[in-house]
Amino acid sequence: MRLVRTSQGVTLASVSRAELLLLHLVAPTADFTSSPELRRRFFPDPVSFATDTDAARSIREDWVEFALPQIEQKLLEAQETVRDDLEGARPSKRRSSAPRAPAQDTVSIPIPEAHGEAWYSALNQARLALDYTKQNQPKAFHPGPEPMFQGSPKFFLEIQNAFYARIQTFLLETLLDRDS
Amino acid sequence: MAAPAQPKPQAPTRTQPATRTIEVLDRPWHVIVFNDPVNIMNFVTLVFQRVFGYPKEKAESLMLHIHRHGKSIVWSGARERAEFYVQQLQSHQLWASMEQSEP
Repeated sequence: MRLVRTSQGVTLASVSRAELLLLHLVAPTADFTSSPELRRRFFPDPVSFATDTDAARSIREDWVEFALPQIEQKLLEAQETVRDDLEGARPSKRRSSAPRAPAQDTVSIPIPEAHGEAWYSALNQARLALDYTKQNQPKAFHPGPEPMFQGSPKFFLEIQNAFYARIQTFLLETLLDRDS
Repeated sequence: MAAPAQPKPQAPTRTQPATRTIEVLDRPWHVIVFNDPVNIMNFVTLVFQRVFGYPKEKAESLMLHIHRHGKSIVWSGARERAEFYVQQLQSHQLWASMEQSEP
């Protein structure tokens, strides 16, 4: 896969089937709605832990009623944006420098500039969920002395995490943080 | 010659209930951001710039403090504002919460 800054935003170019699979896994991986534990990781207590006063209780009530639904909505919309953009994947164009090369089985996914924040958010959500999985399944994911072997859940998780982080970094440097 | 004017009777003085102003100074609330292994450092800096309007140097300094010490107070002030900031930070998926300062 190549990450290309375009005049309209960013294009994920020459995306292989395996990479496309990983991209299609962003939203399902980020799905926080099915696990109460994961929800707690996504939406931490707005008041620091030891605080149990009238004010803290009032803040928590306000939080559940007003703030939390807005945050959830924003995160879910980001996932939806990624799903929609993936629907726009199209076969990669043949590189002009290699006109006789066999057609590559890759696709190209344009990400409009206005979707940059949503993509960053959805990828971050997925990495947050992956980190939660890593921290809470010590038997499968605990970093031990044995090397990761290809095909293991730990190996796949690390690949997925690194792949998403790479795209995030590119989005951050090219779209989100113009001053960097 | 006109008779001298009689002094007007004084209006009865009303007894006002004793009042005093009690100033309740609400202790400020701290907005705290915790370190986490997911968020990219430059992104945290960018969020501090956007949410609080901090200059890049200050935002970066706070981010590094969180990275090295596990957490940092990133803002202090009124409760409602602190609630707003925590919401903004959490919507950027930063691990943020608030607590009232010690008396």
